[in-house]
Amino acid sequence: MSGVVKKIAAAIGGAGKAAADVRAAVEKLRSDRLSLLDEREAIEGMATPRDEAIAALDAGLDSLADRAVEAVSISSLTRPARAPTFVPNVADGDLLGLLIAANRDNIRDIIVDRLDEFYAQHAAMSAADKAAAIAAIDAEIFQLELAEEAAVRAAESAGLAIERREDADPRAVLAADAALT
Amino acid sequence: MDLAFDSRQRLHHLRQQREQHLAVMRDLGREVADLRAVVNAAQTRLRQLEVQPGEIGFTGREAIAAEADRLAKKIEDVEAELAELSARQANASEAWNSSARLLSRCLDFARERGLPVPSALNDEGISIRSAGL
Repeated sequence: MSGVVKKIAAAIGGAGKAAADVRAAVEKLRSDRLSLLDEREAIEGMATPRDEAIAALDAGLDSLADRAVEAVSISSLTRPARAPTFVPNVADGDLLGLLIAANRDNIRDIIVDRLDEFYAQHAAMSAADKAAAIAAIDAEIFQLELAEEAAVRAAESAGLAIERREDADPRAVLAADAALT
Repeated sequence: MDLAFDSRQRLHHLRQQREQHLAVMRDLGREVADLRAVVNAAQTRLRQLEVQPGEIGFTGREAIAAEADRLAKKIEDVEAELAELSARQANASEAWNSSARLLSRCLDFARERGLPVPSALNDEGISIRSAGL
């Protein structure tokens, strides 16, 4: 093989390796982005913290009990015209409230036990912490989008076509070259 | 984060890429059509050879058998090429669709933010969302 042909062959080999390296780098950015999206989804799916759940339980028990107690009619016991009889006129929904009013702590314990079983197996995060964690992940994802677009453009400039993702962030795809450096 | 956009140039680039994919798809479509015509012609000739070989200039059992083998081989080869082309066509179609969707999303983004859009794209796909309907 002549010297020139060897040089060309080496250059082609080198270019092939460089192209493979660029593609691998873009794939790595895409894979990192997918991992972050998974992480984001996991955070979004995290349960409400236990203390918030228990506070909601307490508020709900109190509300049901208070409403039911208020709803029980006592007028049939106190009316002056006829002999008193107990006609409470309680709706079905208020029966539960009366049961809670009569046995609130035991009913609460039953539900708290259920919650504890749940929280033994599920992670929880407050809404504020969740929003902060998601905002941080979104910022990281955006940096990856910018890096990916920069890599795709650099590859294009070198004559190597890399297809953009159809769900690429338009902010990155439409960014000026200077904004990507 | 304040980001500087170059929407006109970038959208122009995305449009070019979409058009390139479209051109590839059309070329492949023509190639596929040409090869199908070759297969059809060979199949027609094969049927003629079976029914009326004399009409297409073949007489003698050996000559007919040799021509039939040649045509069958040709059909097989072209079918294999067609299978490979069909796969490339599917890839090209996917690439075109993908580039068209990205362009459409970026166009919507630019319009929603009042960014400059190339005049060649002025009449393109004003989506329901970007039109505020």
